[in-house]
Amino acid sequence: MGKKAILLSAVLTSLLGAGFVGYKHAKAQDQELSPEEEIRLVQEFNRMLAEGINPGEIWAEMGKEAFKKYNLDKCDFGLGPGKIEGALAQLPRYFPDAKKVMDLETRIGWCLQQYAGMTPDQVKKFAKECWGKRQCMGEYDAIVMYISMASNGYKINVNLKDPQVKKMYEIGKRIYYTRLGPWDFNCATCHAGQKEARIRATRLWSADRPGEAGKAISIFPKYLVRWSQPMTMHYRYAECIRQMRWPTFEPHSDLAVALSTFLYATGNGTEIKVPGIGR
Amino acid sequence: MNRRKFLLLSAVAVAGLTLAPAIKPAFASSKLEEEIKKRIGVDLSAIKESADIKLTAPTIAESGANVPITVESTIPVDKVERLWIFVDKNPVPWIADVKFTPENGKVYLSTRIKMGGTSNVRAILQLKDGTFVMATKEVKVTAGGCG
Amino acid sequence: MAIGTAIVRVPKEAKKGEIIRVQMVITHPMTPPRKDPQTGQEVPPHNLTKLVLLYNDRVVSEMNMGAGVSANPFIALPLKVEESGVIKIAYEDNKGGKWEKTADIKVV
Repeated sequence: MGKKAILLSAVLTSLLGAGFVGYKHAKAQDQELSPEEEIRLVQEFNRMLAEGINPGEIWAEMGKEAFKKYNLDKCDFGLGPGKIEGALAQLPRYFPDAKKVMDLETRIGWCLQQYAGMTPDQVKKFAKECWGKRQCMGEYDAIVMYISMASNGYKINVNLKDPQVKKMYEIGKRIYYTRLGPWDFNCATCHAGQKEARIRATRLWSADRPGEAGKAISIFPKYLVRWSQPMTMHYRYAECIRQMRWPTFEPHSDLAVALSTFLYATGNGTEIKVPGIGR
Repeated sequence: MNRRKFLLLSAVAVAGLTLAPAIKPAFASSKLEEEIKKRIGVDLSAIKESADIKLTAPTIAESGANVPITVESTIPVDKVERLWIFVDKNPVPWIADVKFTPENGKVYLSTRIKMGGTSNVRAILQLKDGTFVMATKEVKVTAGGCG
Repeated sequence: MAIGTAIVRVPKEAKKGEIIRVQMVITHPMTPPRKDPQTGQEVPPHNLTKLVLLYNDRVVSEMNMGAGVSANPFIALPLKVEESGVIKIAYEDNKGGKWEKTADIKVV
């Protein structure tokens, strides 16, 4: 061997060394920011995104037509038939005609059966029309958007003094904090605790830190840029539940009402500002 | 081929592949330069950065689908021909261009653009006297959380 | 209700000579060219191509855009108003879609 071997190993080492340095340099470009700074910059991004006009508002215009088309001007959301100003702010509430506590979407579903002649299955299909799609201009989402926007400026005011509402609140709270399913997940896995947590660049809100649950839900339906369409609360539950590997979620179910009661009551006092916008 | 030669050649190949990421950036910008030459008819190297044009864009974008950008300029609008927006590393670097007239009152544009990944965004102002000014901002496109 | 629906937002009133911001959002998928994952065939892009801003039927500004602009894009452009009138946006896409939307403004 001798000289040739020494030369060979020298060339080898220097080439590999250079390659290693090059790789490290390319990687270093991504490692300049601290986690706190990254969170702050992502919040800045979300603030910039919220400027201008939210595309979700176009669904509200469509919803105004659909509201009339499906006779929802006969529907009592708690403030009298057809009255939608401030309706979202006082939901969920107990409805004597249905003998149940209902949130906005469940009430819409119930009224579609009463006044638009839909069967429960048709209502479910109607509610799920845009699930899994992109740029979907669905009438159900439009109706939810239209009614929700009519509560802009109102503060969430769920009546926990009503024993039926209080009962649903307690059930919702229990479900939120009970680990279930094959992965032992629950809402609290991501959305609870005092310590700030995040998934990649997204900071997670926590029901245990004051004001955060309210801020998170007071902007639903929320326009999602990754799907170019709005997402309603029930679709949000369905997605979380799918990701937690819990049994399949059905819109307008008791589970949905329990979660809504817990979340909206926790958010009491938060000003409604629909639609929100995010990834 | 004897064993030593084979080992040397494979070592060189491996080292070459490891070095490749460091060399790549030099090739990526030429697509931008071609696009600028094609659309504006001028070389990127002839365009200077200037404080007379301001480009506001987020430093981090949680999603590349909808990146908000705002362009403003103190240059009087009657001296301005057209504003061009480019994203260096997009499959098609040209995003949009806007023709201004005195009735606009000033140079201003706010919109939302798509970015395939971390890249520079460039706002190039083409002036009536044939000169150009430019503002550049790097936007880091990250992955958002699940949900 | 479909592609091409727009919201145009301007102040109701402005002073003579004031530069206002014309804000708009237009529903459009703005799909870039891509390959269908199942057939492997090229799917052509579907995007808005041009937007013209007019004031009392005078062309003020023209914007050319491609699929690099986001879906359901928000756009804001400046306009110097000297008299009351009608602000109009006329826009089209690469599949023959042609639309218009107006908004009134009073100049005091």
